[in-house]
Amino acid sequence: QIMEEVEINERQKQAQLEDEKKQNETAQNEDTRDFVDSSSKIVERALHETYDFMKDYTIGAEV
Amino acid sequence: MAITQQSDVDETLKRLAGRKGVEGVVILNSDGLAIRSTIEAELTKKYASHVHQLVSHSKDAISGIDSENELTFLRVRTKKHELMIAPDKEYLMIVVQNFHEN
Repeated sequence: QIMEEVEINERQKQAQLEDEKKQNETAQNEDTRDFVDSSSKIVERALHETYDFMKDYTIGAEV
Repeated sequence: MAITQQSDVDETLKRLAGRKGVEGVVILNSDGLAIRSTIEAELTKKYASHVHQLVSHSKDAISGIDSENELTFLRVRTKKHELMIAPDKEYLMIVVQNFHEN
């Protein structure tokens, strides 16, 4: 009977640990999402800039 | 409480990777490990290790010049691509752009 109790305790601990792990993961996922949301917006804006400041206008230009 | 519609990370990345001229998107964690990537594994590893170093040097350079300053964005122009790098405390986003297609 004692063994059973120990086992139950052990299982509860295990479940608690898993819960904590899940919570950690969720928090991490939220962090990742916040980061991706904000950084992708910046990059999207940068992508919209169509002006190419490196374009070489001398190529093919016969003056 | 207002429900804010937050987009799924993978969906956001897919959308970004699908933009014209974008060759790929990689997200690194603070250890420099790729946690998401839209490009093949071998190349992802290369980008991860090299860009992680590049950003760390850049951060040092900026704070070395002015200790109250901080790196916020990094664009690197190369013959073949442009890298757009958005660094953060925890994560780092790398977008590889092929500007010749634009």
